Amino acid sequence: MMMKFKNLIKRSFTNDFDVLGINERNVSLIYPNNKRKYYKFADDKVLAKNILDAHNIPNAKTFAVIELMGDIQ
Amino acid sequence: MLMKTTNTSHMNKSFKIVTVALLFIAIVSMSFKIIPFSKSLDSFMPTEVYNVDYNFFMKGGDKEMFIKTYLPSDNERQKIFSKKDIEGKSVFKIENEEGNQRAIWKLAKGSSMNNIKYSFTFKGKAIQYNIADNLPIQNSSSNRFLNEEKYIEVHHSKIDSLAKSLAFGKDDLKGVLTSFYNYVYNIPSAPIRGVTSAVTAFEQNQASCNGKARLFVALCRNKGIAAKLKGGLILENTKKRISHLWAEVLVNDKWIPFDVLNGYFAYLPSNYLEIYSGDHFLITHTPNVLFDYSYEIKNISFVPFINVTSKESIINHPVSLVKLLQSKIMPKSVLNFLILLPLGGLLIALIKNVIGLKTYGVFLPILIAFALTYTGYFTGVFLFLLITILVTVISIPLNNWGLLYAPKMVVILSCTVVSMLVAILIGIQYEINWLTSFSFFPVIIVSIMAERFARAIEEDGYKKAINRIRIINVRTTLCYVVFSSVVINSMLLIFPELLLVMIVLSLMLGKWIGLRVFEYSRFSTILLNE
Repeated sequence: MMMKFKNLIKRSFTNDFDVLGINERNVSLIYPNNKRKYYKFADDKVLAKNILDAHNIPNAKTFAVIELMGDIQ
Repeated sequence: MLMKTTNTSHMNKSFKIVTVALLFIAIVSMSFKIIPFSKSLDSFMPTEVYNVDYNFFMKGGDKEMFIKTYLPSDNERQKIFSKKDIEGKSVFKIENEEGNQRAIWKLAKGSSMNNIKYSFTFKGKAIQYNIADNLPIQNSSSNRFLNEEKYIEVHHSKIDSLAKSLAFGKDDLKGVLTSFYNYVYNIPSAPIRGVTSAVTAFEQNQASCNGKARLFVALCRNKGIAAKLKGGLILENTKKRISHLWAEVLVNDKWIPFDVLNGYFAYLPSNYLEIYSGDHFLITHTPNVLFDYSYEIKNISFVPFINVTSKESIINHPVSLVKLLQSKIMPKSVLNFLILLPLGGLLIALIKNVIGLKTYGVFLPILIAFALTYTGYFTGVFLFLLITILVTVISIPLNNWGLLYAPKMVVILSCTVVSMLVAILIGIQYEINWLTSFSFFPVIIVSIMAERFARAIEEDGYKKAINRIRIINVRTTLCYVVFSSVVINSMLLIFPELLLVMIVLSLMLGKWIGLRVFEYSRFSTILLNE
């Protein structure tokens, strides 16, 4: 019983489960693999598409970019 | 299965080195303090500490002069330390007199001004005594605490009939004492100077502390209950001349205090300095000379379980904040706030990253919790709710009128300030204490709070805004529980290295990859299928 509990604690600290939690996602994947200066490409669809086009990676075609409410006609 | 990294490079070297180094410094520094800390533990646990100076001034004439007064001694409510007779020109001695310590200064004749100063440190705590129901009144006729005295006319016919009528129908000690106490307590109090005897207090139906205490003692003695007068000072941060008298009653071979002026039944607050027992004058001196006196009383900041008077005490350790507390350079509240801020932040981070509760802003709950430590929990929460409702009401027309954001916020903040001030004024006028505790609310915190709430109403609607307040409330409560702990506060003052430990814990938490508690329930179907 004690051993089982100890094992469970150890597993929960190292997240030895089949689920990637938000903490592990950030600490193990996002932060080490993404520089802050690239975050804007994830946040901005248009910037991301520009990069994809520059490298000939197929993506959905951009018809128009609406930046202001007034652009809508 | 999701792709998982086995790469441990995120635990990089410099992170480890800094974490271990910080922890090492903290532990080494604290280990030097363990011995002085254990030596300076104070089992008395006072709730208030004061420094008291007796100041006497005497200008004499053609003969030798004297000043006599009483000196306090230790009992279960008070401890007296660092006694010092500071002026050395006079002959000073202490005599034991009927259980009281009497100090006597003898001054040589001459027309020069004599200053006498005697100082000591008082540590006190309040004690509430319990008197069991149905205790019989024990008649011990031989007791000297039943006798008639000059100003305590135990067997005067008026005392006799008053005692008889007050004790009528009651045969247990507590019942009789309660009846006497209520009667004397309800006599109107008046700042009468000079001596009021028990009978005079009864006849005039108004009295100051000494008349009331004597009347209470006379009534008790008349019924065969041993009672005596106690004299001393009510300590507060001031210079004063007024001493105080209260009573003690013998219950089951134990002396129990009663203050019939200020309304303490079988209880004394922690700032009562007991100096002598019996019906005496606190000061007597050679008649017909110039004489003046004052008691100079200073409140001393201290840590409850640390002996502040011992020389080897941990407070003198270089890495300790108690010195800073006592220097009064920094107000106590500011210092407490600073040392508790990191702890509050760590708590909020734990709630977010380990439990998984959404957090809106890290510092607002900490700031609110801090305000609550001034007002008391329930009063504070209630006042916050009042302000919240007020802001809600104000923001409805403001939104309808379509004001620009910044000016609208100024209107809301000004209304908050004005209504706080009005509430405090009303509280003072009608002596409503919980309203006056608005004055303990730091205006900035209330303003931030009002601003955020008004914005939440505008952005998310009332329902979400109220829900948000509820979540803030949960975290505020948790912070409040931690902040109001005297032990945590004191330990941080004595071991400021704990702040380093908190940095270490936060660094480790920053690398925590475990699932949040809420994620366990959210993904329970996957987790259970493993």
